[in-house]
Amino acid sequence: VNRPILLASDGSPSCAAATDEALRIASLVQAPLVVLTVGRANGGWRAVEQRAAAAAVACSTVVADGDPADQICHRAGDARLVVLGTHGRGPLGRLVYGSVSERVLRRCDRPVLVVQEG
Amino acid sequence: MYSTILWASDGGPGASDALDEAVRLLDPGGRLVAFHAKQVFVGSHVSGMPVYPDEPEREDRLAGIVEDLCDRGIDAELLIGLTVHSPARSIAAAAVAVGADVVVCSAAGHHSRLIHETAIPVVVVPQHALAPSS
Repeated sequence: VNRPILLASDGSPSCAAATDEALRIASLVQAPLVVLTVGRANGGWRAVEQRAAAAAVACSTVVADGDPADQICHRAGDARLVVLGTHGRGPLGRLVYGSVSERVLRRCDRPVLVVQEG
Repeated sequence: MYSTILWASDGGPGASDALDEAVRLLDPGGRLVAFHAKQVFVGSHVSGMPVYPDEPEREDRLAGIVEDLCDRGIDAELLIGLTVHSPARSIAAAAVAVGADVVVCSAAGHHSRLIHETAIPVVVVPQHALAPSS
């Protein structure tokens, strides 16, 4: 059984590039896609599910609460690849807001694909 | 999945960390560029000297790995870039120069800065990643 591709996304436009890449890879390797949304659940993942269906990619969604980096690392499980977007904040922005992607990269035990958004 | 991959490695004892993932991600017939950012000092009496005392061994190790890849039928080459400042910036520049679709590196490397230096997707592979089953 193909291990899943885990996409950390809320389905919003700010995750568009990561979503595109996760769907492309899942389709190519015929792996199921798991969409992980942490925090504000705005239903944006449904658009990802629709695109997955159109691409004949099996897709499921996990909506979780808590710290995004913790949740992504916890849910990575045996994923073939974890895909997430990063927004390219400068050093000051990272200092103030922290960087989910950096914390995931330090702690996740699965390969992580980081896609620059916009 | 990707036709041109830049695999970044410091050439240290764990030089092949992330290599398996890079090969897995490579399209059949794709091109894998092994990139090593050779850090050198700048200064009056140490200028040009490599930061790593074992730099020649590191380069030899990477050359051997690339040779093995070629023996396996993979279109691979070694690219060594000299840098006096940021290896991450050097990796990002090399990725653009070779037309890489993605950069693959180990979590032990310069990924933290790299993801902010490049618009190209970056795959970071933990040293203790699970063995692939598919």
